Amino acid sequence: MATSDPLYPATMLLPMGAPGGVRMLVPDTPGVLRPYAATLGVPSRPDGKKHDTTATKSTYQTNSETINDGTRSTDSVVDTDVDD
Amino acid sequence: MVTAPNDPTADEVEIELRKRSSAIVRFDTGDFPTGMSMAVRNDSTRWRGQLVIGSDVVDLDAVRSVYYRRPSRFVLPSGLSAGDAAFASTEARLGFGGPFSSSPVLWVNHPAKVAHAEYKSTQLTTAAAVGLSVPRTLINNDVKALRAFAAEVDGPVVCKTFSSLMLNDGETMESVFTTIVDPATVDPRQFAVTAHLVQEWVPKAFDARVTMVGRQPLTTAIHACSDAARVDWRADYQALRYERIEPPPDVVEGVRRYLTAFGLNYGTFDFVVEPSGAWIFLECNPNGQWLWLEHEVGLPIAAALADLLSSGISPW
Repeated sequence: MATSDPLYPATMLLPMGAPGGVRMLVPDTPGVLRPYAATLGVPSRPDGKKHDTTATKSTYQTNSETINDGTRSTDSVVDTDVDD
Repeated sequence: MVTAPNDPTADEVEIELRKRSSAIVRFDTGDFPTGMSMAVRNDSTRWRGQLVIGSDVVDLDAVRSVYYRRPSRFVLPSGLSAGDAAFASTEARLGFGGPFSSSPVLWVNHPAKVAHAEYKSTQLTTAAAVGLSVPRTLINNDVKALRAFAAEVDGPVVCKTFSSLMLNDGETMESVFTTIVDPATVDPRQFAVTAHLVQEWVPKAFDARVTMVGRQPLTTAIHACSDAARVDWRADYQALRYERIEPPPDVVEGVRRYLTAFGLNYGTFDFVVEPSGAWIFLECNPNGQWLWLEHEVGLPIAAALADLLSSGISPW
């Protein structure tokens, strides 16, 4: 399957950096026009009991990660481990 | 176990597997290629060979099952240009991921199956096909169609997202939960920007989450104690009360058939239970979280996953 496939992008296949049920934190500066659903967003509340037990937090890049001098670079997307 | 190294949920499954004396190797796809080497050869209908992760060696022939839970991206060596990194990453996905994911073993769950099962539109039609009740749903980007749908529903409608994106403006994180909307106030230009999922509001006595591990349903009633949580329980975890319950037999049969239809061995199903007692399917997350429910109501989900994985046998 081509990586440019718009319906099954590479991120949805192995390795799944963007699996189901994970909210992807997207750095965003809203423009003059926004998707309606995005305007329904509300500030996240403090973590509830759920996160006392599921503290997984992984960091992903939109493209491949690289290591330079032992430091893993990362730029954009954080798996916040919040469920659907 | 293929998962990120700092995953407490996977830790619980690993603990349960070790109680069963199962031989386990846990690694992350992010280990490849800098922390993992591979060498596999085609042998008629399957790939045989080894993955070497530090002192661990995985012989693909010896694998009986794979717990595939949210691993991370490949980590490439330093010195690559952005273009070469993209090239190498794609080659790694197809070259590493292809043989590995073709292993004819029990997957919980196979990533390709998960990808297919993430489409909410397919979830709804599949749920209906297996006999579950689903809400009337409109997917569109035309506000006129939205208003016509709302008129037909003749009651509240909600807007929900297809994905679980969070937005961050640099200061605050925002989540988009299921929201009751007034079609008359929806901006047509904003609505036209992309596809939107609109659904009739289902009156609820409580929410229910059925965590299916193979054929086994592990079910929790989620009682909301705030306005926000009553619309979408994810919006206010502090206002939730949990109760272990048993789902009706027809729901159990429906979710089993659902998993079979998608080729899944695990899934978390969200239902609304109406005041009448009817169970209405909302969605199924093929990779949903579960550990907090195990702790809240004592559901033995980690143990059930370990039983399934150690058996290596498809529940279907």
